[in-house]
Amino acid sequence: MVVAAPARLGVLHGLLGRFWAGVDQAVPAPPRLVCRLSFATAVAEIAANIVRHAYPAGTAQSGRLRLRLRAFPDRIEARFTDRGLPFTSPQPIAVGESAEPAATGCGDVKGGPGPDPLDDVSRVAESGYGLRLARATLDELEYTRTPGGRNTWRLVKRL
Amino acid sequence: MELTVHTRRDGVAVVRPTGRLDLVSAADLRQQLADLVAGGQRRLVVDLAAVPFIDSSGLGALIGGLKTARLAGGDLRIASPAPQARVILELTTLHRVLRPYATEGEALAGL
Repeated sequence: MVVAAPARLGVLHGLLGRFWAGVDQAVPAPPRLVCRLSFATAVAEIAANIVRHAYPAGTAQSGRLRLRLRAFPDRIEARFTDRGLPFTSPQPIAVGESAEPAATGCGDVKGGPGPDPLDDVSRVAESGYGLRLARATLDELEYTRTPGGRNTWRLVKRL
Repeated sequence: MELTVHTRRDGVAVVRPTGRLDLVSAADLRQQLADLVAGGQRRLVVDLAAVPFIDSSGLGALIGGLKTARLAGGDLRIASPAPQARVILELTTLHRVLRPYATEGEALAGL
């Protein structure tokens, strides 16, 4: 459980480091580096997304962000919970539905989705890559707003 | 994150961030790159050797710097990206506009 503030996001990297150490001891074939980096990227992007959208600066909203990391024989999972504002986005993720499957790292390395060929630099976006990165690095991404006013994000990467 | 800026005799500014480039530190890098271009240094190399992790905000700062430099008639190149940086550049396909050079020397060549 960490305070949902930008300056506290670094805490996540420490948690992930301890998680990998545990996974290494529990799993016969520890995940490859590119798998770990992809998962860490997705975790960081969703955390940053929660800080931006659930607890935006300048509002009365403040609060905490809970992260649970778990390893299973076939997958690793992260689950974020917060009590901030509901998530709304121009790039919606249907509640209870998985986002597009694309993967890097744990099994076969596949190419991820991305924008069209980029010829004119002035037209390249400077933001909006966060959720796309999370989707591209994960096998499943689910967002749920509960009737009790909680946001949960479930991130799954298959091993 | 720490930022050092080294200006070479040929006028190229080499920016070396140290630490994670994320929601918190991206604004500093963005500002630094904008200040350099505004001060007339429009040929920039950002050496990412000491950046173990970049998030989408960090990518945004690099793209912002690239646009600012190009608009001023210069360019921005990135050098020595760590594995995580290479992964996210390829996933976003931004490596097509922000081609990673293996070393600072390669990035400087012909800039």
